Amino acid sequence: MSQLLQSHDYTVGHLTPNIVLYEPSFEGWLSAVFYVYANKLQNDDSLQLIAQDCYLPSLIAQATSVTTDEYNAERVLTKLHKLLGRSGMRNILWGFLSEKDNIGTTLFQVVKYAIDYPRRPIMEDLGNLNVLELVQTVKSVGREKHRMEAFVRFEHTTDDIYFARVEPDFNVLPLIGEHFRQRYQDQHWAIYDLSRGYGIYYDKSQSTPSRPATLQTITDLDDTVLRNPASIHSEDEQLYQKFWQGYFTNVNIKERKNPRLHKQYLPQRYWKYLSEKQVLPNAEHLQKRR
Amino acid sequence: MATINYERLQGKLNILADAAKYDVSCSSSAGTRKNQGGGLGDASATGICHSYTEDGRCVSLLKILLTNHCIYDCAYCTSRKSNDTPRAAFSVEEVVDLTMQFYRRNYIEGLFLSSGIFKSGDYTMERLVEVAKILRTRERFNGYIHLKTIPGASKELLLEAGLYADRLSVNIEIPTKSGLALLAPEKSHDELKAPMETVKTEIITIKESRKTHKKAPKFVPAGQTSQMIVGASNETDLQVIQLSSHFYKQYDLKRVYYSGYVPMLSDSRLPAIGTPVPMIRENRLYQADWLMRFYGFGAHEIVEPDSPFLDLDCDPKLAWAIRHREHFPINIQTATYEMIVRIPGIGTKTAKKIVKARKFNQLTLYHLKKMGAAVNRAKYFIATTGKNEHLAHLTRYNFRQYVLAQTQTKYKDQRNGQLALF
Repeated sequence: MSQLLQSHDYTVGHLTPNIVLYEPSFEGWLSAVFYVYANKLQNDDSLQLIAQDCYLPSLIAQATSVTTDEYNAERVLTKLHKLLGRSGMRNILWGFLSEKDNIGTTLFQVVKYAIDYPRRPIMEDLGNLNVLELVQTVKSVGREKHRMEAFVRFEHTTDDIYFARVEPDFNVLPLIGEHFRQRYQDQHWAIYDLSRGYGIYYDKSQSTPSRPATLQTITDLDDTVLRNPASIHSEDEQLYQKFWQGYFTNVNIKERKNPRLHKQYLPQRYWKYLSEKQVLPNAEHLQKRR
Repeated sequence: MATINYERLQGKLNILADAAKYDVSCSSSAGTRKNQGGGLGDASATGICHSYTEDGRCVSLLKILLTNHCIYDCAYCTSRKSNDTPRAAFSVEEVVDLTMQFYRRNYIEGLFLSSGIFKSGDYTMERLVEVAKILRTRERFNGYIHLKTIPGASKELLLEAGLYADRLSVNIEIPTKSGLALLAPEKSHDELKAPMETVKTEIITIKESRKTHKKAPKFVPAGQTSQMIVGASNETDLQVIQLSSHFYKQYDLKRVYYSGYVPMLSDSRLPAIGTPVPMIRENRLYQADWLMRFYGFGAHEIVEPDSPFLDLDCDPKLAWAIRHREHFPINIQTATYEMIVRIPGIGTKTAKKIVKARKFNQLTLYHLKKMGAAVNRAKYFIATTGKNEHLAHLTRYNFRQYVLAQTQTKYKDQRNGQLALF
């Protein structure tokens, strides 16, 4: 807020900071970038690009909503691709998926830097605070992506789908789909992001011997099922969860216990959906029996 | 197909997971086994830790023994014949089922299968191979498989195992021949090394034939490894490191693992129950191992005969630098990469960055810090174009104490009980 109250020299008819709101999708943001350039707002230091659902209306700011326009989005995308190359575009997309409050603006500033200096390999300029912010964000998103590939726990359901619930900090489902698609070709599976209300679904009957099926997006799953997936567990699911819990408990070497290290590697915020963590330490099925 | 008794499976799994937990390897890397379409799983180059035990170790493979019945009586082993412990054995189908079901739920990257020895080496090894074969052929499983080769198993079985497994390993158990003779009188180093030689030779043969015949089968694509227990007999670090160096050179091993002995058996030949696990020593051995594999150090440089144990107070690279101050300071602007990686606090990644970046800029301590160097150690050993006032300390008579006092961090916490052992 204090930033907004500082006195700036705005051009006439332009007394308040410019806020451009975009529909919360990558195309939405691209459309907003197009809008900024079409209206020559790019050199305004106070310019902000904010996702509509993150925006808190303010008395002194002037906000314009930009509707998503696929044609404009496509034009911007083509241009950025040319400027930044594959790896640069990957940074932009991964940064976008972080959904950080200020990411729309940061990304815009990076893009503007690239447009202003088309010959410079701008992604290497970590002295530029926007680039640095983006690179660090991409690193965090990458870490979350890797953790989701590790910590997804599928549960087998009565309709023969292996179903997993996740709540990642960042929106990484679009990044992990391919990993699971390559790996789990011979089972139906779905991964559902509870905090964002959508998931990805692999229908193995759509696959051919040479090509795994295309992933589908699923939304609006039954809330009671999401809260209590045990209601749709197949006959065997509890059995294998217990096997896994028994295994997890018995591979531990008590003499080397190190809770700090354990939590560092396996952050507590993920425990909620890890089947091995849903068990009392002295439960009967953890015992060694003959 | 044999049926599975699910009622009893849980108890067996708990016993045989517990019995396998002292096997150190958890790696599922270096294999590249693609899902050929429609199958289950693939093994990527990096591997994934799916969980972590409460002792902080990675869980990436279903690591179990096929059985903990054993005809041997090795003193250090909980599965030894004379130990009163609950015994169990999996059927081949049970191991296949657990692997598939755990993999389907994304609990694991694959299977690590070892075993106590029942009846004979061959009888046991046959069953391990059978598990891998069924997983690959009937179940079309492309995840990672690491098989332990059983001492005394025939060459033919080892060769068959290598066609289905990503990795094979043989435990060398105890680093010294005398220690092994004392603690495992039925085993010998020569017997343990024989399968390594077989596997190494076959890897080379198949690599050669793949050059001309593209369809030639893959053979242990992720190579072979070994492990040894430290702290159960009275071996020195010098002996351990020389043996590892020998393995890396002679058998082209991918890794040697070290396992700090956890006392759990009462035996006059062993450290008493309650003796702390030598965790820092284990850590130092891994650091020394890294120096050999990635930093160009020879075994003879890491531990010297007049002082055959690693310094527990500081990492072996820092210890080497302190002993060999005549090589320092190293000028980061002009020194070779090989010398830059020898600077304490500078790893291979940072060294590569330095070599690149110095073409554009005169580097300072500030740059090094930004590139990820541990400047608190490095600063005593490097010359930059600017003045480095820390270099004044390099010639101090009490340099070692001085540097340690300024750089101690990680191990001064909960683990200090360990030092009493040495």
